[in-house]
Amino acid sequence: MTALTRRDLLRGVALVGVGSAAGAAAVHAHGDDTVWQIDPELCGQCGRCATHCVHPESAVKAVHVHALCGHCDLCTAFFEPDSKLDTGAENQLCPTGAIRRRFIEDPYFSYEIDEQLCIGCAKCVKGCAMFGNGSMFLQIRHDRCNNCNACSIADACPAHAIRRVPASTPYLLKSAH
Amino acid sequence: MSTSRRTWLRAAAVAAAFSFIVLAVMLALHARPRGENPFDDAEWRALKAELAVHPDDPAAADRLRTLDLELRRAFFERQSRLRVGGVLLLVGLVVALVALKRAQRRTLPEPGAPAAPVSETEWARQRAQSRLAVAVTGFLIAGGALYLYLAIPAGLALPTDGLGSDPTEREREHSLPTAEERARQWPSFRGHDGSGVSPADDAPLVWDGTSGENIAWKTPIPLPGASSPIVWGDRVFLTGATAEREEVYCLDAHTGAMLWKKALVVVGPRGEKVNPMEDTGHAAPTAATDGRYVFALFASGRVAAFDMDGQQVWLRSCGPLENTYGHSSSLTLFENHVLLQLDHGFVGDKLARLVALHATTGKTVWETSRPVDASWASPIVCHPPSGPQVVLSATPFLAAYDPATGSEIWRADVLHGEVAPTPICFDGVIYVVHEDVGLYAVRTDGKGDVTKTHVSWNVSDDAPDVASPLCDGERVYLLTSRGTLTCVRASSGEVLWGHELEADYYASPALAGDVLYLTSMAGVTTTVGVGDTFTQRGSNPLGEGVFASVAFAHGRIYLRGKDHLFAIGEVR
Amino acid sequence: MRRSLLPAVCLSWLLAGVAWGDERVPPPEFESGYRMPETTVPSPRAFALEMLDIGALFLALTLATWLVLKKRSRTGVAWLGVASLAYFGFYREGCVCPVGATQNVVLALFDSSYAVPIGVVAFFVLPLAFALFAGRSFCSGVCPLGAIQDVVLLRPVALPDWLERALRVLAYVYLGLAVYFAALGAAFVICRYDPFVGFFRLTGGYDMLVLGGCLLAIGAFVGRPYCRFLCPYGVLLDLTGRLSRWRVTVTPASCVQCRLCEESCPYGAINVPSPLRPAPERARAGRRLVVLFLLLPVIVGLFAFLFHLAGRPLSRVHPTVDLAICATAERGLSDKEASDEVQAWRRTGETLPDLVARGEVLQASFLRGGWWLGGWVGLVVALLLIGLATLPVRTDYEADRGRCLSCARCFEYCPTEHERRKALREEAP
Repeated sequence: MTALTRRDLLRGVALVGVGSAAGAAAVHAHGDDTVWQIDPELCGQCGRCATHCVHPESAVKAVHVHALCGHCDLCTAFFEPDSKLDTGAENQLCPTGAIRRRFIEDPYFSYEIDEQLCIGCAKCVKGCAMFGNGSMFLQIRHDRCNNCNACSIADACPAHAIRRVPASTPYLLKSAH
Repeated sequence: MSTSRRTWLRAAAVAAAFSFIVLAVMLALHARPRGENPFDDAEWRALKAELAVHPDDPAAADRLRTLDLELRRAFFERQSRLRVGGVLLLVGLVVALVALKRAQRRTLPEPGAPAAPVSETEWARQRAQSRLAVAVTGFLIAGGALYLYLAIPAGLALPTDGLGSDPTEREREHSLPTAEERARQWPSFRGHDGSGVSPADDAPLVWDGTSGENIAWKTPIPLPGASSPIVWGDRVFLTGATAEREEVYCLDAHTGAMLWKKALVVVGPRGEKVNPMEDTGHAAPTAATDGRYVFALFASGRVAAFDMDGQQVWLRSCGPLENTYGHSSSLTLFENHVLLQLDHGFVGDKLARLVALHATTGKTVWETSRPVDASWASPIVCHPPSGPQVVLSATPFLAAYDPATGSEIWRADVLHGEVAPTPICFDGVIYVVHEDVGLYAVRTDGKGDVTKTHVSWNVSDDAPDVASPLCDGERVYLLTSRGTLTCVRASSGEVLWGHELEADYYASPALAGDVLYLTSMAGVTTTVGVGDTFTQRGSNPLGEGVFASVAFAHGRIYLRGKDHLFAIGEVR
Repeated sequence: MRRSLLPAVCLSWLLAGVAWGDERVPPPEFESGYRMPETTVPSPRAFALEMLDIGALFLALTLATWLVLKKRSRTGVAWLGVASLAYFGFYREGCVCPVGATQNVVLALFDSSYAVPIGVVAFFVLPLAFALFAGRSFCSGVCPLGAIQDVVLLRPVALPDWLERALRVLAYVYLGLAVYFAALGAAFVICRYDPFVGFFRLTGGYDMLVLGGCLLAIGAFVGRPYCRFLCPYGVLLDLTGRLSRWRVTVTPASCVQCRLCEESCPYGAINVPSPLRPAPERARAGRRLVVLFLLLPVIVGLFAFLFHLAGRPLSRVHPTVDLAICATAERGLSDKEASDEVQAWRRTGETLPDLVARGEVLQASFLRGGWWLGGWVGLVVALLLIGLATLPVRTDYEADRGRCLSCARCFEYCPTEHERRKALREEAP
């Protein structure tokens, strides 16, 4: 005999409850996953990305969109303010020497970021934003990011520049349209 | 104690000792400051400061380079050591744990005699104890909540010292221009009020673009566009775009030199592409400026603000805009709002809307949806005694909204078909024109549906399909794209005269002093005197085709040809 | 001398910048045929792999359920736990887990603009659905947070009943707070204060590593302290587990009252037989129950009011409220002196009255939410007291439906189970 007990009834109610909560949440859900990304428009170059990632080597790196770069000789993302145009360590802004400067043709130079060395401190980003075209900016690199449920850099970001974006468009790169 | 147990215990002790050593090394590594932060070393900073004072000391530079290399190496070595240490620690602990568990393994106890049931008094005592414990915990939690309330200040109130109610730094630095200041400039499509009437009567009357006569300068514009120039002070702004690139130009009004040229920088994925007709192009909407920022809108629906130095301040994407010819409504400004007439699609699509963006941030201040078809006309802001209104024309109605809130004030059902001419306002009357229905005069003091109550008159002869009307105060002039110029009395709608100009026109007519400027698609500007009869004054060729309307500022005319921007007037 | 020169250096730089701002360098066109490098965009973890995680979760849950209820195998569950610890813990680095997914689901319920990934919803629902039918097999065989505590358990000591019950209240409060902060969009506190995730990643904030280390050290003697006394998801599993269709039954046949299972359970989840009571005790218990039921609305109301008051300080957890307070306090400071947060906010151009207005709206919702949070805490305390005032009638040793973590240790101790296994072995050949 299979009488319906009080527990069976309550279980039914709980099932409906859990199901409807999940259903209501899933109304706004999408199949696409989300990942964390920095909006370069909002980023204030505070430097916390270098220190607040759960990984000792931050998943945030500076990226360079060369198409926006002015390729200047006097690059304020590369050189310390008011220094000589000499690539000696004393003149370089990057604390780990992660930016490679190369002559292309008069009077242009290219600046490439060595991601192995970059620590995401945003010093170059600040230099580029202040006097240049803003072609260098920070992005979360998804091959390094753990995609934590609560991003600890996002919690620490003073400008609230880190938000969830659809995993199908995981970067917020700048482009001249 | 069995031998195997002893072995396991020994193994556990060794593994634990190993883990302890690894942990100690890691802690020591962590405690050592060198290498923690490659740019935070005291010695490095001292050397750097020294070098700033003696920039040409090769020894100092050398020392810094050596130290710098050392620091960088220390930084990366430290990181890899911590990483390896973590793994070693984990391995050590796992081994210790496994060994301890093995050492602990023993046979299961034998079942004893059945337990005597707990005595009743003991049971009751236990339950009472547990009740007390739960009650005390609850009490402590409640106390915690009360403590939070009493100990942590978190009041939010606007300070009364006045410091906080000030606008932010940025807005204080660049306060909004006054109405008089705006009226002296040519800050948006057809001037500050969208009327096409010059603030002064010192505009040049004679020029020749082919010979260079009376041309101050001409500057090639990199990307095509049907948008018209705008002027603020000694700067002229213009937009140009292709499907791939959208640009804003700033030219020196004195010399024509390109001060800056900026492409819109888009962050993240690009939106859908739009396909406007070639005549309209991707840059038909005219930009607007308030002297602090210049705002530019493109067929893609992207709106951007640049400061006077060409730095992009914000960008919004309002597209894609469903528009058969391509979006061409210009933007206009009201105080700190950027007003966008985004009438696109058809009534049933529910896409059309009027949007106000915050000028300094680009955030939406308000948005009003409009049950209308796509429109190619631009919004105008007028100031009748009842308060400011933003007036928009699109099929099927002409409507006015409160520019501060976006709420509709009145509407008149007078339009149908494709609406391109922008309405004008003179003396509290809106003149709106459409080729099928003719010219309507609608008074602005109504509320709600004013179709039956506030339409003063209507004439349906020779109404233009593209160019906007012009009013000299007594007469309204209409110019069709086939070249028929009609003059109507503003007060009564009586047709005074008509004249065939034998040319094609897209540019809207403009007025400076008592002269009408009518620029044909071939680039010939015919000047006509205002009055109750037609009097032609002159004819000035540019040497280039023209779609855009003229801009008057500071004794000059700025006219955009197919490839160049011309400044007409004397060289200064 | 140094001091006087440095500002001059800065000044010259500033002036250079002003002159430069006008001609922000347009990107050049190269004549030497130089091609600019493309910006690389390494892709995130493939969507298919995320789906694989859901598959792994489902498989592990099914396996754990089968091992506990059907196979009754402690060894199997223990190894499954280790495997889950290796995969969900060390390999996936503890993200995303059902415990944290609770917050995503709550946020999605309260904030329609937040789109929760469907995979996260699945992580939240699956263990609960299993618990409704087969008890908390998630805790024993799947949860990496549980497994790491399970493997460090060396010498379990039984906690006195009063301490156990008092500590258990904390988990309910933690759940309430986690839902409160997630619903109001302030923070995901479960993730922020996850004590073990640092071990899975072999790195992390030192405060949380130390806290996790302490919990593990305690966990060598007190079985799974986080699961029993803190885990907010454990509360949900406890509640759903109470309704489970099938359950862990210590003995496969009749109980011989040997008390070994009580000794075997490191989690204090075995309910012992109650003494028979004479009438006077029963009458006293009845009166106590009536009083507590009458007090229930008073307790709930009191807690609701106190947490409503606490809602104001708690609202500072929300970054916008905190920003509004900081921006008000720092309004006299220049951009250089102000905190990074306030500087960043000033760049947006929002006026202080607007920000304060936004903060006030949020704070009001914290005050409103405080009534609910306090009501929940009060209800929990009152119902636990009422539970302690009732007189359960139990003649055998049984695993508690809600608190049993399905670890299967008791099976190994039960003499009746030993007999069953012996019989099975004899049947087999």
